[in-house]
Amino acid sequence: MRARGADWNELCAALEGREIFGPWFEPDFERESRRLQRATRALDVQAAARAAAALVGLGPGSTPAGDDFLIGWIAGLAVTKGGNAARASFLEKFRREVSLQKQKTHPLSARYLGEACELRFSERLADFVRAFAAGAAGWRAALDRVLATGHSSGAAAALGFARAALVWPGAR
Amino acid sequence: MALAHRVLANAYRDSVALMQLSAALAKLAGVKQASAVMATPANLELLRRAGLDAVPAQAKPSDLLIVVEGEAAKLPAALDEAERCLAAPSGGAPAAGPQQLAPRSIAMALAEEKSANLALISTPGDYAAAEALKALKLGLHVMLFSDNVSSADELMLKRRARASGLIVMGPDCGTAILNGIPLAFANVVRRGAIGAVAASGTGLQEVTVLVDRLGAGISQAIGTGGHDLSQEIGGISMLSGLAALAADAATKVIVLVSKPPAKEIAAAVLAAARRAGKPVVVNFLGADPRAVSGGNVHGVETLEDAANAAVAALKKRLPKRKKAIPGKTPKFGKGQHFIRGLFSGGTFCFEAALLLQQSLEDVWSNSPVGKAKRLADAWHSRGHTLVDLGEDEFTRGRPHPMIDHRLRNERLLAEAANKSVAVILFDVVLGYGSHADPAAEMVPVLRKARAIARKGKRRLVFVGHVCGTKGDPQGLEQQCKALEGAGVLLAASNAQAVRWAIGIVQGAKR
Repeated sequence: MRARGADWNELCAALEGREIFGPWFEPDFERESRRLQRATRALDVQAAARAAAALVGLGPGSTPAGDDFLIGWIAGLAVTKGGNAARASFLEKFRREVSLQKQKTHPLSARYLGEACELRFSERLADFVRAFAAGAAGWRAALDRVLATGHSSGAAAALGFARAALVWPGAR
Repeated sequence: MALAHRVLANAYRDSVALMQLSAALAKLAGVKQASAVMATPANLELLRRAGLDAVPAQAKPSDLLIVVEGEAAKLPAALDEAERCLAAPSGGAPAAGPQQLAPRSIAMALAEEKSANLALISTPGDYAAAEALKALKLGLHVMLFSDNVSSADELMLKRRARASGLIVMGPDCGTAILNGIPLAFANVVRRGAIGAVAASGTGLQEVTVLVDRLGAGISQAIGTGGHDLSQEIGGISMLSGLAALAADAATKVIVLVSKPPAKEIAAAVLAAARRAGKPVVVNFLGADPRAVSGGNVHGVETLEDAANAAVAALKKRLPKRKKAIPGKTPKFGKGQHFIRGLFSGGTFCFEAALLLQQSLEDVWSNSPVGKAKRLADAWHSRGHTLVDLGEDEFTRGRPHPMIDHRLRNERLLAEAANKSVAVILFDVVLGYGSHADPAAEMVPVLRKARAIARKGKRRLVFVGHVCGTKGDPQGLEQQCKALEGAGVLLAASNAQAVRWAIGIVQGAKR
């Protein structure tokens, strides 16, 4: 991860204050997101899978925002695991667990989530993740393209990426 | 407060449509909040915990669930309204008897309507060029509403169109009026003898609206997309549009509008204009009108001048202008010096910046031109600030400010609380595509803004301009009456509004 401190600050500022989940879903999302962070940091696959299961299909949108968040989350972990075997093993098992939850969401969203579990992402998200991880100057424009996806889909995925990329020490 | 719901089996709408539906339902009387979500187990579980019961057990993730919270008696009507909106997204009533399958491709649509000669394409940018290419291959002109199309694709499409005697309007073309039919964001104007080609959406709207108000009419209004007159694209669509209007017997006068074109392209467009065989009014915003004028080509400084000159060329007399600033000279506090312009139309912001810097120093914008300086942070004003709220930094994840006034309303209140602000300048765009009742959105906020200033013992002047006609669905008179009732000084054009704002700031007592 070659993004600089200023890039991280800009990324966080770009995501701050966005209405993604709305008043009904925000408390559940935040609670499960915190659980997911704690479990991922502790490399506890079962606890992370429980939090992910609560996020699948959660929230507004034809592709529920919880699914988009998880897609970004998987992308974030994929670029920060580095050569660490324990993290790589966690991610592999976590992807398998999330894949098992797909039927709990809209078929269209399930398709995207399933692809993410195979580490295949939309072109826009992949462009952004690559640019940001490489510290490339074009990351901001790539983020803008992600954020322009759907009403909140892009923002939820970018939020998932940002939070996941900060979970394991050493990313920032 | 009670909760109620309705499940629509296998209903699918994109996220933006669901968000708009939620916002529309939340505005109904007796409804506190509303949400349209997919009936996933996670959503159902959460809503059950929130007090929603009796959700059918067979509801599945591919079903759409509409939930409303509010006064129990009002909720069934809200759910009916939601279902009605979803059942008839285009506003039409379902036909009786067996229904025909809606076309799923341009080719299917063309097979159904063989006389069609134009495709309007509004897809995410990634797919737009491919769809436009399909339309061109089928022999159709293209209006490309989509943005985020690469310059390489734009050039490829426009070259291909030119080779086939077709035109590509766009990408990012928001306005056109063809054979009297308004497309996308456009106003209801009478038909007539003035044709326009513009690389500017709100610029085209302003010219067509002012022509209508001056008693003349529009033959064709052709958008080209804002990038058309760049060196890269070479003005292909403007040249095609100009040639079409030159050859059109119903068009007696032509108007061309653009932000400053690349030098070489401007020369090519002007050379073509001189060969048009009829009067051509040119408004290259920011260019010296004298450098443009010559022969049948008449250069003008503003969009208002463009409409006036076109009507003058047609009717052989100059329209009358109302110049004086209405009302008494205001008295501002000692520190109140600045104008803050909050625009939904990009060209209005651009034109305002050009006019403002002729008279005032310290002009800032998120979309600067000439001597105006770029705001480091578009969310915070300094000096005389003009903000284009349609720029990407404000529209990511939100509808355009012509549709959704929330962001401008918030900014308006923030500016009202600023002790250095004297005048707040804004545009209101009517017509198809725009908000159904912009004055209703703005008036309470204007009153609140005035109250904020009054509390700080300051006087605040609002100067506005409504880009609309009597025929627009929002009702021009009703909109103007409501805004004037809230104390807004309403100018006849954007240029006049800007000049009034300058005059007020310069002439005020302190």
